[in-house]
Amino acid sequence: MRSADLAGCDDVTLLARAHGADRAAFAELVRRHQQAALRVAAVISGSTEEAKDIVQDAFVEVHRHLGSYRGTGSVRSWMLRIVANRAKNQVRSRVRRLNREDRHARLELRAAEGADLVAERVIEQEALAIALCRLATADREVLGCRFVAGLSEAETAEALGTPLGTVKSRTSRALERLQRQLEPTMTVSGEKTDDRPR
Amino acid sequence: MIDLDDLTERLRALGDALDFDDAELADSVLGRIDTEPRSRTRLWLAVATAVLVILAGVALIPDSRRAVARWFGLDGVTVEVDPEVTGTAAPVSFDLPGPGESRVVDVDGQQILVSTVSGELSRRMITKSVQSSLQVHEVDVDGAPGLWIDGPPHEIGYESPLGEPVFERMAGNTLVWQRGDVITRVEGFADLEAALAFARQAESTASSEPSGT
Repeated sequence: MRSADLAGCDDVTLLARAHGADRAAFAELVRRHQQAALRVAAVISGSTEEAKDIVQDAFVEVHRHLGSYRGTGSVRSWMLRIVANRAKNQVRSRVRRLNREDRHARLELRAAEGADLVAERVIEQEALAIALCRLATADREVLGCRFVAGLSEAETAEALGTPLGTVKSRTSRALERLQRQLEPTMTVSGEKTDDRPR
Repeated sequence: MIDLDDLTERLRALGDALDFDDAELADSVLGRIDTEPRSRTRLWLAVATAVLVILAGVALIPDSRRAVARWFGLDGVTVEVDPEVTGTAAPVSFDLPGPGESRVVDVDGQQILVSTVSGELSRRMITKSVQSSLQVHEVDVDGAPGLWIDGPPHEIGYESPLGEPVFERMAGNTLVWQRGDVITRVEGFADLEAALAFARQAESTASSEPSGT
């Protein structure tokens, strides 16, 4: 189904073809951006399991609104923004009732290789996931989109609906806060009253 | 302490380590698109309702208030516009309208539309269809979450009473914020500072009333 013809198309062309009822073109768009979409949904919702449902719903929504893409940002950013908004709504409606430790526990890490070295890395990554989930929502979202999902600063701004300048400043402050979270001698409670997720 | 460059690398590695079973995702999405009722009928019903509301609004209210009427009318909330209040209220004495109401106030010669509605502020609803994310800014109105939407004319998308997404073009800068389960929206300020000053004043007026909590 994934023809070389489609693989060579840019996103705008694919979107136009998808809008013209070309299913294969839409499937190519989905495949091209599903990895970033899943990561964005996972870092916002705190759940890889939930991320799949969020992304599926979001891409169905994308398909419904192919005609409303304005061309002011990239197609990818536009799609990821719909994903991010879906994920945020999901958090608001259900996940926010869970405490943050619950959420980190549902970020499933790949541990297929099994060697001690890998196990050690997984433990380290779990600690990082815990620290990430303890950050304020805005901090977690910006670090998650920027680094975990691998978006550019502009894409992060577009996906989160946040000004580019805010993304830049928030990224550096959030990194410093995450750095402190990971510092073993520090306690995490007490000093972060202002940073709690709303 | 962990080096910041090392930290960003670890975060990227965390992304690579996230486990997704996504092989079937595209097929699942296509399956949903094929099998879900596209709801064109429902969508057209919603649009028809919208057109009726807009026509009613055009017939009954001045031009400057149509945007608010459309927004609230389509959101299933009755709009009550009282021409008598136009330009009569100063911000100092301004009371927030009750849920479902809208008022026009005069602030330094500017006509400002103020409306409220019960419900939860949904960023998906507000931001999805603006021309650029740079138009949307998260703001804080005395501790209440809000959004400032400025720049070129933007569209506001929301769910119609039938549950379908609907998009409406808005002309003016808009500040929306949520306190409890009430969303307040003001349109017409030239800049965010003026809108925030107004919002804070309105909020403090509302919270200082004997019946406020």
